Amino acid sequence: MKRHRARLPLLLLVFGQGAMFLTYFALYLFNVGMRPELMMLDPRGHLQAGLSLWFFTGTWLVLGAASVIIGVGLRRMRPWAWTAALILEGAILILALEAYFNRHADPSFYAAMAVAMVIVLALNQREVQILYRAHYTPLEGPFGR
Amino acid sequence: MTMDDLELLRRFEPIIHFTRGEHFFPMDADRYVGESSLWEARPEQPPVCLVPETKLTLAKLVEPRPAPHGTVHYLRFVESLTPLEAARFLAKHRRAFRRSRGRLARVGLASRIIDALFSITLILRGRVPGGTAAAAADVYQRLQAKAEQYVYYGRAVRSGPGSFIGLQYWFFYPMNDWRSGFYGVNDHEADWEHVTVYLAEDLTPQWVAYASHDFTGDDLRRRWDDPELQRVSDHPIIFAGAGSHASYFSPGEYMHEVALPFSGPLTRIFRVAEKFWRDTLRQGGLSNEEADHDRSSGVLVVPFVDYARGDGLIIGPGGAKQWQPRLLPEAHDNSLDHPQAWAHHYRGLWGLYARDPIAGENAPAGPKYNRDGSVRRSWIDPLGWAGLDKVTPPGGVAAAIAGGASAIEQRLAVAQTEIADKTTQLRALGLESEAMIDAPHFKAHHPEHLKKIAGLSEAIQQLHKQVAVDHALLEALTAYRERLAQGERLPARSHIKLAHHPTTEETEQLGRLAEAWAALSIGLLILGFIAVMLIAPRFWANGLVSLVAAISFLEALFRREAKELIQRAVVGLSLVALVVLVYEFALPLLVAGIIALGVFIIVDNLRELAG
Repeated sequence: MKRHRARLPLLLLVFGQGAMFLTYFALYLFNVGMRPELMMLDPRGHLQAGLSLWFFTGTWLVLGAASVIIGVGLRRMRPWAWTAALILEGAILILALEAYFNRHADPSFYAAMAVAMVIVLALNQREVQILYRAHYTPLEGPFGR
Repeated sequence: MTMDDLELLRRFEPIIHFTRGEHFFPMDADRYVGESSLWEARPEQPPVCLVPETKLTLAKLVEPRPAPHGTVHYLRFVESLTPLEAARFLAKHRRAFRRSRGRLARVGLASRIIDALFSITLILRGRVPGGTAAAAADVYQRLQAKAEQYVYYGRAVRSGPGSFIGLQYWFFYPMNDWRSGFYGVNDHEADWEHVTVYLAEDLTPQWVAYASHDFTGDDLRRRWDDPELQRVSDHPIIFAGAGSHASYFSPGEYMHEVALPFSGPLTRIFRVAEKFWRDTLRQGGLSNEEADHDRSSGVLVVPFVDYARGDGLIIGPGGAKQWQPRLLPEAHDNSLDHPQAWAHHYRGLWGLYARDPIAGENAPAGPKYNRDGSVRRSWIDPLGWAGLDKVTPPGGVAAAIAGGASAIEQRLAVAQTEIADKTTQLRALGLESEAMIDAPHFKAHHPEHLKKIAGLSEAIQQLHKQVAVDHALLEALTAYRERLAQGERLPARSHIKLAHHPTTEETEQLGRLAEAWAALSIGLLILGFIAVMLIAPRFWANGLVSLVAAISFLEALFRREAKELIQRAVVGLSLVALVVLVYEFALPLLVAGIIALGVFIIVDNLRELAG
């Protein structure tokens, strides 16, 4: 099957997303490096901030690594990668929208939201679904459809 | 009407296969009328009984009854039984009907919510009282016990020389108990159904069309050699819907969608958005054609099953019971002496007028009339009703093609002459225009002259287009004539756009768990929402979303459609994200768009310069 023209931008977006999350991870790690007391989960006032930082740092790492793995799968035309990409983008959108509606979104969330939205719409393109064999099989009646 | 018509009707009379559990079969109108009373409902007035039961005859039925606009005349076949009487009757005459997996288990959560709304509209609308179907069955069984009869009313419609002959078979049932008996859409006293067999002039059968609910057009008819059409010799087989009596070509269970009243505007908006989403943005998993086939009749639709299993009584040639045919009067025979003069002269309803504004529970009018007293299309134009008005009968095809080709050739000759004339005029105008160029005193006239030239040039262009199309059409007609001469025919089903198929076995065999879940889910959703409102009213929105998400996910697991659900949910989230981003960054997005447009123009111009 001829490869669809949306495939290359899709791959760029997924790898770009991975790079973005890994950069966030690096920045948070750098931030922690500047304030090592946050890593100690000190009960005398820094517990909440520390936990939050641990959570975000871990999340960015997981999302970044998953994006890279899924990008490789998409590049190798693996059908599982289409499903995994959709689930990953769903998770990113839930996190970003939750942050938005609870009024603690920052520019990094908006960027994640925008990239995830574009990737979902690209994955949902009919030709892309066919490319990754993710389309539905229509039911056949006794006399055709 | 001649004996020839009766012989013709008998030769092609259909065989009806009913579903087990059916209570009502085609009967004669005179015995029904003999049991009925005649009523008149004037606008804003309570109904008045004009002729009480046992006093009404077909002769009295057709007497003229002047009344103001908006008046409805109707029959009342039975008084409804009390719940206790109805329960006694049903216990005594237990239905042999076997319900398959519930209709609600075959559709999604949204449809079930709409189903609940539809049930509410039934309470608000006029409806046939409970116990009516049991009372009607009681009277019908008593009548049949006295003299068992299975009747159809027939007519032969000749639309003129060289046209099809339509043999119409009308079946009168005393009651449609689809809703109360078979979980369907509606109940109404009296039911008129019909099928038409279309013959060529040499009396060979060519097509057959079955009435199915309120559908019309090409999809209703099948060619005589279509494998879907089941026949015994020259007798087509009808599979009648249980309670609804709609006619089907194949046995099975048919899903129907009924739009909620007043949901039209919402459906139209949804269609436009859906088309943009699917065709312009190329989103979704189905091709256009497939999506068109799967398209439901509306947004707010309720699913219903029409059971046409064909495992019950068989009436007709070779069946357990035989027909007693009655001839209907010809289209222009208004004589009151005809035994079936009521077909022309009684425009009222044949059963209870339930005052249902969307008419589903009101009884139908007779074979000739709609409920509003206008003439049915199937009566006055049986060819157009089944989309056959555009089809040439086989005996006339060669002559029609020759005639069509000759007309095109004449049109071509006229067009060529016209092109030559207009070209001469155009050249003359062109010369005049050239002459005006260096003459300053033509400054005022020249623009007008140029307009004339443009108009004439456009007209010649249109003529050339028409000539090209006509040449292609002529070639196509010639090729088609040759194919027909070699014995080729179009595929039997080429005219069908959307055939109605029974549901697949896979759909019918949904598990008991899925069925139980379908029955419980809406109630659980409502109870869960009430619990959230009582325990944590501040989080009602989150609670509702969580409940719907949990129920939808469970549902998808039952149906093995978890992947599709995830896809739909994630696409939904991305659309919410789109709205958020547009809301938050409207101005930057606008500026970015303008910058992108500017960059595009610059790049495009530079490319032209470089190229």
